[in-house]
Amino acid sequence: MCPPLSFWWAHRRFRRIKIRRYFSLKKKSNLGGYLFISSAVAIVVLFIFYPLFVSIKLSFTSKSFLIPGTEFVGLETYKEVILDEVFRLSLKNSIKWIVFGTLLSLGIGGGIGIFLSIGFKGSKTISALILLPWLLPNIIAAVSWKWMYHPDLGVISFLIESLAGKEIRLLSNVNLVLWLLLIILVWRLAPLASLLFLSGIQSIPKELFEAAEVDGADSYQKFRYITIPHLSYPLIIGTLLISLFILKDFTIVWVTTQGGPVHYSEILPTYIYRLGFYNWEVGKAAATSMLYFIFILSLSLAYLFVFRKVWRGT
Amino acid sequence: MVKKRLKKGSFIQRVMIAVIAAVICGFILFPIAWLLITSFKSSAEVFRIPPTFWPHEFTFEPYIKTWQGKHLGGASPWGIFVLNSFKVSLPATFLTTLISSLAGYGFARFKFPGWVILLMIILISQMFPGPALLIPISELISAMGLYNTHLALILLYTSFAVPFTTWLSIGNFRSIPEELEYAAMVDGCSRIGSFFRIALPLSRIGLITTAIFAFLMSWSEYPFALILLERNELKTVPVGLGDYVQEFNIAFNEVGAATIVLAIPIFVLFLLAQKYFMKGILGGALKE
Repeated sequence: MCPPLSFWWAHRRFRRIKIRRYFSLKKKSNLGGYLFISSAVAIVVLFIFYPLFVSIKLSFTSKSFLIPGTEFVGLETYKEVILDEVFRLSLKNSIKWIVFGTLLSLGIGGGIGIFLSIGFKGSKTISALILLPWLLPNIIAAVSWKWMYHPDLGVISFLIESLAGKEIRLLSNVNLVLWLLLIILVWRLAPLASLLFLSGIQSIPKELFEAAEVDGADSYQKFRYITIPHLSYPLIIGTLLISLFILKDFTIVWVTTQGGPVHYSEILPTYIYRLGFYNWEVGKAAATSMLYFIFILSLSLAYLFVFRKVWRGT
Repeated sequence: MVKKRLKKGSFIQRVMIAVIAAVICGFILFPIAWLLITSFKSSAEVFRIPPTFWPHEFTFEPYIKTWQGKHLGGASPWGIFVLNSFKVSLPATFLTTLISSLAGYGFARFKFPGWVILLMIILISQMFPGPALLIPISELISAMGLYNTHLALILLYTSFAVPFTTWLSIGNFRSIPEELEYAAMVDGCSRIGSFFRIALPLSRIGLITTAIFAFLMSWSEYPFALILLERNELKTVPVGLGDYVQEFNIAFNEVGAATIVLAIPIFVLFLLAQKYFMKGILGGALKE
């Protein structure tokens, strides 16, 4: 759970700050600041940026722990990765994973948030309880659902089998497996979305509703013309937080199915792990990582584009 | 306003609300509740084919068995795993809090060339997803000779948490009036002195939020602990749990017990510091 929101905030602030800092620099420049920030910059550069560059370098080699020696092969590795069928399957799964994961989490979580915002008896308790899936480690989510999906002893398998009247091995079904894992993801992320929506609705000034009431608006109109326009903020933040969480997730898939059956639930993070730590093809794994980076980068640009209007508005 | 109208709302409306609330609670809580219930079942009952809902025989046997660790050679591994998790999480929490408050203070109070670029470097690093860095980080850790050490995880978790917590603490220090520090400095306090004596105590709520965030992150982290720790006596709880599920995936009452062990510190933290939690776990996404 590492919400990278600040990036977006910073983006909003930089323009102002930049101008201010530029002029103030000429008046007074205080170098003591370097002392304070040096440790943070050092640790981030050492453990995030340096590995990134190592990864770029490795991706142009054919390094493998099975064959001694590292050879520079240019774009050969990339070509090999792109032609690889498993890579294409996991890319497809990753795209499904992120698109449906984000949409479903936002939809279900947003619905729950709006529902809780009507404020009935016990809604406070529910909104505290709802934190649980988001609070607990990923691995607990994976383990508890794996148990429910267990083909012989799991409670969900049992219910579905007694409804369908035949044996269905849930996590071994190639068509179902990714969707079953998506349920876990949504279970884990919907609470986040619902809290964002709930706090977004609660932050709407009461005066707006009162004014609308004076003007004779009914509750549908109030919802349509006051609440919905105020939901754009939780929507953007939710999309960013949730999709970046999904991009970073490895645990749910790995603990439940390890990408199987065959590669039908393989997503890029698990594929990278498999390449690097099972097949020992480090060069290929690095190239896959770089392609994953490009995927994420284009996704970020897409967000910038899609949300450009809201962006400027805020 | 809305509340009042609902209290007057019709019977059907209230029933509908109750039903929807029950469905939500069911969806959210059932998986955890089921695991908790399972963890009190005896081994024979776990294997019963139509699953029993409530344990016929309420037993602590899975907890005892898990703790003794018979299946893992009887060396009581979970005690060691829990200890390891604390050995990693607590220093990582401390380091994160220290480094990010130093950096936050630096960014909030000083103006220096490269301010924007350095902040950008720190913030942008959150965009890189962990799993894509698995390979180069494991190479780096091996090259540093830190493979199979807890120090590696402490440093890594710190570097993963620092970008976000730095950003939190910039906001914290900005909200503390600088005049307080000027007053102290006029009275002969140094910059560092005023940081430790004035700014840090005043921002303690922010510090708690940072610490909670860092602790939760390092307590729950799985992939890097999985690749960097190979020896059994060094593993953290998530790794132990992952191995357990994949190797002995039938004894789910014991797995449940182990899962509850992993969850307990989080519950305790939640009860102790509830009001700081929202900010910590929602990542400051709430408007203030």
